[in-house]
Amino acid sequence: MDEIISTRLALLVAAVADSRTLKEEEDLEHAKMGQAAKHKSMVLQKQEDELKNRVLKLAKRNYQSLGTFIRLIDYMVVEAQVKINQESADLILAEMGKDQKKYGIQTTVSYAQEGMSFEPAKSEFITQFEKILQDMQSVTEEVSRVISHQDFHQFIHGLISDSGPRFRSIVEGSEAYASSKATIQ
Amino acid sequence: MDEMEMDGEAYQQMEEMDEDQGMEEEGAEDAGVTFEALRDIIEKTDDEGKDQVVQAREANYISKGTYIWQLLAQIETGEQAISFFAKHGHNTPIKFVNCKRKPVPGDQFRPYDLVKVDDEKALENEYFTISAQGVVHVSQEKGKKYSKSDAVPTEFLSLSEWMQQSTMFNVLTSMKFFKHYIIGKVFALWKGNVRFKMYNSTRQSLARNLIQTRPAFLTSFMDINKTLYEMQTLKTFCVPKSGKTVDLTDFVNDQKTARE
Repeated sequence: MDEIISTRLALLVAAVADSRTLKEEEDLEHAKMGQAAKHKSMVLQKQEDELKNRVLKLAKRNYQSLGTFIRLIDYMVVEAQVKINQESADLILAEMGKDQKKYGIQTTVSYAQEGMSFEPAKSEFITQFEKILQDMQSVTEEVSRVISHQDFHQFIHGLISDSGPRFRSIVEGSEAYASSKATIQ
Repeated sequence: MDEMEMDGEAYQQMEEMDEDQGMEEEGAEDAGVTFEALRDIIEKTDDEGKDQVVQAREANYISKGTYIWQLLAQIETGEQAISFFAKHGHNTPIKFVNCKRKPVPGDQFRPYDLVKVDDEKALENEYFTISAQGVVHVSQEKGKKYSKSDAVPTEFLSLSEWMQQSTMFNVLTSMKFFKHYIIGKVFALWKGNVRFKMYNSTRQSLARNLIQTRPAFLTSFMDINKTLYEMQTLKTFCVPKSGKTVDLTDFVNDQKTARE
């Protein structure tokens, strides 16, 4: 998924960069050999020049905005990661709360004079579910950030700080996730 | 300086008047006016007053210069008219007084403030007729032509009812909330309009400058949004579909495999 996004962004960067060099290409067209010289009225020429200037100005503006756009996409990706993680945690919780489950986890109950004992023990369950939650986070985190892409460094330079959105810190700091985690455990 | 001069003049005039009065009193004493003579003068004056009222009540029409004419001329407002009818009833040749609403500035609302209209032709679509019985409020729709068969909308209020409602209105409008209600309402309206204008301006600015709405970025933005939406449909926890019971370790391993 992250590759698709990076590729799409790379295409966009290329297209915007190309639009900036439109003028040079058109100037070259005038120098093509073997073609009859085109004569245009001064008014038409002036209008075309104005239009060209506007297009170039817009292209430059777009090029300058690339960094902000990449940053926006990065935020969106992080948002999606947090959402996936939260929804998965909620899914575990919902499954645990179901009355009639189609599956179950084996537990051996031993009766002794000291009282009942369970195998695996409660602490084992807690540890394993903690591991599942950690694995879920790790898998979600594997989606690489677009800002870490080499091609985009020049655009986001100075726009993003080190304290930018961090998936793990957002998840750990989330009240909703903390509540779900506490209920699961 | 002018004020001081004026005050000085007024003081002088008052002193002169006092002196005149003193001289008159002295003159009266000189003339030998007795208590009986003074009583006669007072009674005579009272009689004259009574006579005027009696004359006014007995008159069949209002002639210029008479006492009743003076009374009618003194009536200028609706309140004065009501006061007149409350005092004299229908015993005088003045049977009714036509009034219209008192013109007030646009930021005020004074429905009970009326002014007398002498000329009946000057009456507009809305007017009030005050008589000894009460107040008739005639309110015709503007621009609508009434034929003889059409009923003109009217409302009747007795004098006491009118006075009660007028007093209640004045008491209520003297309260801070109602006193400033129109100003507050207009201010709220103005504030709302300004806020809406600012909102529109911000909206237009956003529509012009928002990166994802620019044609160059729009397609890419939509594509990436679609990809992210598809990504969100994936779950990192897999609900087992089989109906068997598994070991805890196996359950954890199954989850790991499913995620991979």
